[in-house]
Amino acid sequence: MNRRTFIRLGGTSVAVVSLLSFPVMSCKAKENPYPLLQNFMPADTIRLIGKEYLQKNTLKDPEFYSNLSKNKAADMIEKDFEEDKTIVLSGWILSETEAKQCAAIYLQKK
Amino acid sequence: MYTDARKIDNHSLIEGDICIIGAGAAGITIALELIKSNRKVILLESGGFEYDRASQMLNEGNNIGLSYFTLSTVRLRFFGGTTNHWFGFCSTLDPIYFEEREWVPHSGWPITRKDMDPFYERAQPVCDLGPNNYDLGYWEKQNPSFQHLPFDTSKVRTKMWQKSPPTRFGVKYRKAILDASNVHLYTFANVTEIVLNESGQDVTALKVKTLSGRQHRVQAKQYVLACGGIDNPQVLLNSNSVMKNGVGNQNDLVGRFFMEHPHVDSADMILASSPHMFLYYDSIYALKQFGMLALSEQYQREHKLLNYSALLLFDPDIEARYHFMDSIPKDPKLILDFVKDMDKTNKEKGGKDRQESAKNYVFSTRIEQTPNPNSRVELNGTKDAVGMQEVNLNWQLSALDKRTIKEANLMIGKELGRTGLGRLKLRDWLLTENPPWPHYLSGGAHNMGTTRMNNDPKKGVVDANCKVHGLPNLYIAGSSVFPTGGTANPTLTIVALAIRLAEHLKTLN
Repeated sequence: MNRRTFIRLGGTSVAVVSLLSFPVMSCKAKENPYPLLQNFMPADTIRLIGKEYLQKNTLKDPEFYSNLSKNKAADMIEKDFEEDKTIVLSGWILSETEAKQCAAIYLQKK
Repeated sequence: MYTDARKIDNHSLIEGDICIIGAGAAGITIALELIKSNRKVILLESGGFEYDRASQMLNEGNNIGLSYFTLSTVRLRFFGGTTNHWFGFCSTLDPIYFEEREWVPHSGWPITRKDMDPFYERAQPVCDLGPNNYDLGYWEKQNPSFQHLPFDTSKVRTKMWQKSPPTRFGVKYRKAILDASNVHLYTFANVTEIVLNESGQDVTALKVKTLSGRQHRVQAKQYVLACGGIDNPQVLLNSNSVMKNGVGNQNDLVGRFFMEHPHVDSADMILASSPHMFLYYDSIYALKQFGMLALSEQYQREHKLLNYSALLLFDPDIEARYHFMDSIPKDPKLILDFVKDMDKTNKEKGGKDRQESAKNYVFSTRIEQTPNPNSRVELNGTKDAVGMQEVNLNWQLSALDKRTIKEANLMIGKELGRTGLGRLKLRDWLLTENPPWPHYLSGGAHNMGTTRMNNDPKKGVVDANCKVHGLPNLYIAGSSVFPTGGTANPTLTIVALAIRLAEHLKTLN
């Protein structure tokens, strides 16, 4: 995806949510939930990031990242950023957890 | 009083107490400050009161370094100088910029920010700005629509700016200058040489030439060179009858350390929601105050970085941004036409809040440049229409400049993630080791550093009073004296320093 596409797709976050299927575990929603990448980033960008992650790394437990609840994922991502566990993929500055989530999504949709 | 230098007798002798060369922001400010003094002031302007193509073409020269604006468009030669097409962005230089920072080569001013404070206060109304207050908290109280992004302020802060209408100095101050009984403006008067005595220790006169071929001589007690960051060294280097390397150039510093504010799109930001971003709106038209993201002083010190600022452009035309440098007209008149439209829109839309809901922004990064002696203005041997050598501009940047952008963006990207606001994508050109600058790198038409200020003659062309080392009666005004440029556009500091210089001139016999 080129940079222009990125900008054009930026306003399609509502559609993006419906394109992706994330298993939601039953747990209490936070008052101000930490926004997950899947809620505001275009789907093809997420897959591109996932692909690049897998070109450089091995994802040991894709099931775990596919099945993460929203709240659990949000907690892990917040913690990653606080502990500086970040990674740059396709230029995006991401938490390690969300990079692995992107990789799991890429594998699912492959 | 005003005289067209083309219409007076050939070989006229013009005499006064203080002669100011150049009627731009600096020159006009000094003249205004001297109106109530008992000094007879001569103000020399290369052009007339309106754009004149023949005068403007005296600005021609070559870019031999990084991609830059065409030299005949980057500054203007008529009354008011480059304020005739400036956009009006104003902010003060932060205290850290004045310090000698061990990680920034050739940094340090011989004056402090505290020395500048009273002159910034006086510069505000000259530029038609609001109160001399650049505190974020103050402006958030004044405007409830302003809400800063909740980043860790030990790392990233919001630097406040004010927007001048923009003041067109040549329009606003024309009457005051012409009505002043002790100021005599000469238009179409090109200074072709600063004449020294035989020992090279005193300025005795200026040679002036018009495009119509008339030659005059100006004699004063003090002289102030106020022609801008490219033309100041051009005049000094061309004045080589006595000092073969040019006036003030005994230590080969004149023309070196040319600085800009490198402007480059460096990242794309996507937000998770639509916070009210009014504070950060980038429009050149609408806002009287606005914020840019900047590094905290603490972060600069800890990570040994320059300062950095990012203007957030919402939903810009990305394709146009990629061809920004190609899109700038080569004809200065077209730029002036654009600016006229901008001024009109500015009056119609000024200061209105806009409830935008953009989620995508481009980081238009504007950083401080490392002072670099190899970044320079030199004479190129080609003679212009009044017989002066034109210049080559060799704009060069340093590794620290690029590292600053990358590390600052990485940190801000992590802050966006930590706060859950969104994510940042580095531009491709930042993803490799020691990458080349992208083709859309530009400056801000801010020409600085070429006659830098330092109390040591081996390190600077002028001293803390802006007096040229080794000459008792030659001063320099304008951004060419800045030893470092910070991230703030230079005009406000040019005006503040001009007021400071005028105060100094008033103390001289």
